Amino acid sequence: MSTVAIGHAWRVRAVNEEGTSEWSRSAFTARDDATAEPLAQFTLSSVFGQAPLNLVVDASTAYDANAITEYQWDFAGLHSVVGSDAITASHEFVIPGTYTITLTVSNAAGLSDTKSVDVTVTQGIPADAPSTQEAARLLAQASFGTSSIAIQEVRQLGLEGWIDAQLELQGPPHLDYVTTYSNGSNRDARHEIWWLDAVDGDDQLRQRVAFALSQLLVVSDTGFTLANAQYGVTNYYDMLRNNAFGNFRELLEQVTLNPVMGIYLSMLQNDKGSNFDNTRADENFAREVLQLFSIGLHNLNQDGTLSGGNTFTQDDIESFARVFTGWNYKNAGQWDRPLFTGQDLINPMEAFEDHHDKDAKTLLGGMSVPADQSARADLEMALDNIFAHQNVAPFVSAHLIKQLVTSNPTPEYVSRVAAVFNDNGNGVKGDLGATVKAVLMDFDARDPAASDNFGKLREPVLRLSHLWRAFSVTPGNLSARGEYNTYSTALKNLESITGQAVLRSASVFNFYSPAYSPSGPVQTAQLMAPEFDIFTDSNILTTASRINDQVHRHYKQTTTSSELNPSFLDFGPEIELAADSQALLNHLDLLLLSGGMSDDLNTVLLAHLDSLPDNEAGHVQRVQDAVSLIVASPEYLVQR
Amino acid sequence: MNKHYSRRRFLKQVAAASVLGSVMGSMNGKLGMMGSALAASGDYAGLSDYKALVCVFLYGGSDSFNMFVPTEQGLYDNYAASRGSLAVDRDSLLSVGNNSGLGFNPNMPNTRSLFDSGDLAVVSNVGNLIMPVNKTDYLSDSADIPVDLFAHNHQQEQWLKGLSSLPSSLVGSGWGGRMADLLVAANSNNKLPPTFSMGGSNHWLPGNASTPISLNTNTGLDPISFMNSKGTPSSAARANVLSQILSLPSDNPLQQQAALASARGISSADEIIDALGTTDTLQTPYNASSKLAKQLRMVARLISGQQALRMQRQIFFVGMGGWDTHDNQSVRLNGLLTELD
Repeated sequence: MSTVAIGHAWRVRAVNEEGTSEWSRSAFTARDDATAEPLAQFTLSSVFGQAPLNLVVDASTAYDANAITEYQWDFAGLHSVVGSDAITASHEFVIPGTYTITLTVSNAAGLSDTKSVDVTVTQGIPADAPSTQEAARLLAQASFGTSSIAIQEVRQLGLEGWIDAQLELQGPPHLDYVTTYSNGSNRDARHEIWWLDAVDGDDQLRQRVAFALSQLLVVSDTGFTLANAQYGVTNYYDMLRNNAFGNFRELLEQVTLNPVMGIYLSMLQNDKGSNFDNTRADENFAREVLQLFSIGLHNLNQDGTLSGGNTFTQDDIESFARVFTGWNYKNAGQWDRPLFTGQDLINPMEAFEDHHDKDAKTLLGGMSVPADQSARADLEMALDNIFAHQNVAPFVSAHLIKQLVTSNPTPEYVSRVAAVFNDNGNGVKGDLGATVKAVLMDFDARDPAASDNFGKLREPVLRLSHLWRAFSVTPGNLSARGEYNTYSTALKNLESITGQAVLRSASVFNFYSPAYSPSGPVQTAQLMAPEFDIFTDSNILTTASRINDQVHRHYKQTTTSSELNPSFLDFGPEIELAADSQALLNHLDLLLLSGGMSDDLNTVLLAHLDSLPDNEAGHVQRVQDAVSLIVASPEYLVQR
Repeated sequence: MNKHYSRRRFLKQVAAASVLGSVMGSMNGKLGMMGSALAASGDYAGLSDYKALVCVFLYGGSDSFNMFVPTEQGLYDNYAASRGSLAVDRDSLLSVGNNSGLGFNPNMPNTRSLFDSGDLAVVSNVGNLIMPVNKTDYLSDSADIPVDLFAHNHQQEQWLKGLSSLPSSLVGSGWGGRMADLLVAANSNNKLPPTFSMGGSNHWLPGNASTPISLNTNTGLDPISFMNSKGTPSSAARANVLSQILSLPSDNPLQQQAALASARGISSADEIIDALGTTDTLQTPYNASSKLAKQLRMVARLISGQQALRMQRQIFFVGMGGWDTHDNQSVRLNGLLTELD
């Protein structure tokens, strides 16, 4: 204890048992009671909350040597309370915003003091808001993973309101980051920015749809050529994201003219045929643009069922192949410009008319393309011809449903969505934004009590992104530029242990075939479950191991020098609940299973958690065990 | 009658009758030896010797007309006329045997040596065609042709499933798997199927009575970190809880499938790890930068560990990609053949 002279400042230092100490952040000043002003101080019931927020303020700690003669409260100019006994006051805020609360205290000598504190009021949850479970279920289908904050956002806006807001959002392209941090061959940057954006970006739905489109309009950089074309590959993905809510006809054109696609499916520098040399135009792109990107092999009804017959013949392929001739890098200069001499992999390809087949062609349905048209005119007619086919609506709709919602949509569901693809309500065909909204708002998607066959196996990429979003992943201490990373296997090689990494499928047929049916219960039930094609023994085990590394080892920043790079999770909110195992399970049920945890699963987990000690270390372990066991369970693996 | 395309004789041994209306073209006797070897051991149970079959599948389809080429002048001229600029130079072909009139692509010297030493045979003219077809028949629609002809993925699937007259989505097994169905009784270890893939999921290995195990090329199969029944007490405790979770009933076939697949992966890992632990002493050098070599190396380790695995008959699948050489074939095919060789 010591005495401080008037006017001098002093601080307090707290020391704990281990000798660690910290000085107070504020300094105190010794006062002369006889001549000093009063001291304005008050506490608030909260400084942050949702509307309507009832704020109670309390000035019991305000001080004067003699007595405070008047308390004056100002609630952001909305409301005042004045009085000699107005030690407490209250105000209800109904409109979201930041408000300044000011207290002025006066004493008998006429001196006064003022103090202000800001209060933030956020938008409240409307009375008709979706439940937390409904919000979580939508997020599982329409984002890269449910988080507590995201659930609140969806509840505030409503399911449809959230989707509408998402349709307006678009994050910046990835190309800038990649050109900054990669020399074009270095593969890390493309994946770093993809994961940063998937976890933290606001345009969740757009990114999720871009990811779905990347599995329809496939390019892959697992081959040598595109592995060294990281700028072009990144730009290809940016292009998909740009068009995710645009029109499918435009998307198809941008894909067709993209030089990276040109390399991948040999459309670039595809020369017209020559009878003299006994050569023909390459058919690779012509075939895949029909078979894989737009109409498939067999004629379909609007509900996706077969209507009989094939969509195209070999003759059609040859005609389309002749259409797609004469295209080259924008900066080619000469026709046979070789690779890797500064070619333009970003801008759309441009035509060399001399190398374009100018003969007449006959396309689908007998449509004639007249002779002597430019390459561009032929291309537009061909894409219009494809786009007009009745298969496009069910083909694209079914793909989106299977990517976002369920592997086995009913024909009625497909038909309802395809109807929107065919006409968005304003007479426009191919409106992807409207189609995506139809996919998500359909009763089949929103109804949690859907059939036993409902659901889809979660993709490895989405399992990791969910974990990172739900538990606020933080970059490791050795991250070069704040990027996220996994333990032991870099993100750029994720497909080597999980079977999937962005734009790295083994072939243009994507990571898995849309009709894949694994032998076992799925095949017996005559269902499809494409994602099981990469759910192999080794992928199952290594993916689970990497997730467990994250949960059991990297749940906080480690100090082991070899492990300062991997990102780490934050289980703070969960640990606070862990003294009550059931409360913890309820929380994780919502976050991870959208509230659908079965009683059986709850029973098994509860017994295990309660067997762990009820102390600090035990609580941490309860959280880790609960999380890792839930995400390994079939109820999690199959999103419903 | 000119060459037929058939696996009928071979596949008779593998109960192709389990699939509706099996039709494959016929083989002109070249696989007779393989067929009869299979037929000879009528009772597959209780075998004490060991045999393994390894399939190296070339994804995308190799241009095999350039792998094994006639050197006899008349036939070569025929070949060269149809191949144009893609024809392999006659002088560069690696002839085999004595005046056989045939030779390998110049990038395949090791393959040629194996042939000359009697360790390699070529089975040619095997494919998806159901019956011989010529251009007239095809254009007049009078021939029976494979379903979805020209679609790469479907044709590959049909080849692996051994049936091309039906959509491949209706065929649930591959012919490697159907062989395995017959051979299951041969193996003492009933916890593992006879079929192992190093090349990921494929259409050749699934059988009607068995599902193949898919391994990684580095370690085979690893137990799950932090959920290992042979790990620390807390790890083992978690493994035990997971095992309970995987046994919970579900009405959803996808969840049932996920449970089965997870449980099987875990139990297979236990089986394989013990066996592989003793086998990382291979002398043969393998090219570390070749995915094909790495897969084959793991196959070699598993074969050398067959006693520990207690398996008498094993069927392996190894995949090599990139063979769909649309453009720049003369360069790309050479590289691929060199790696394969």
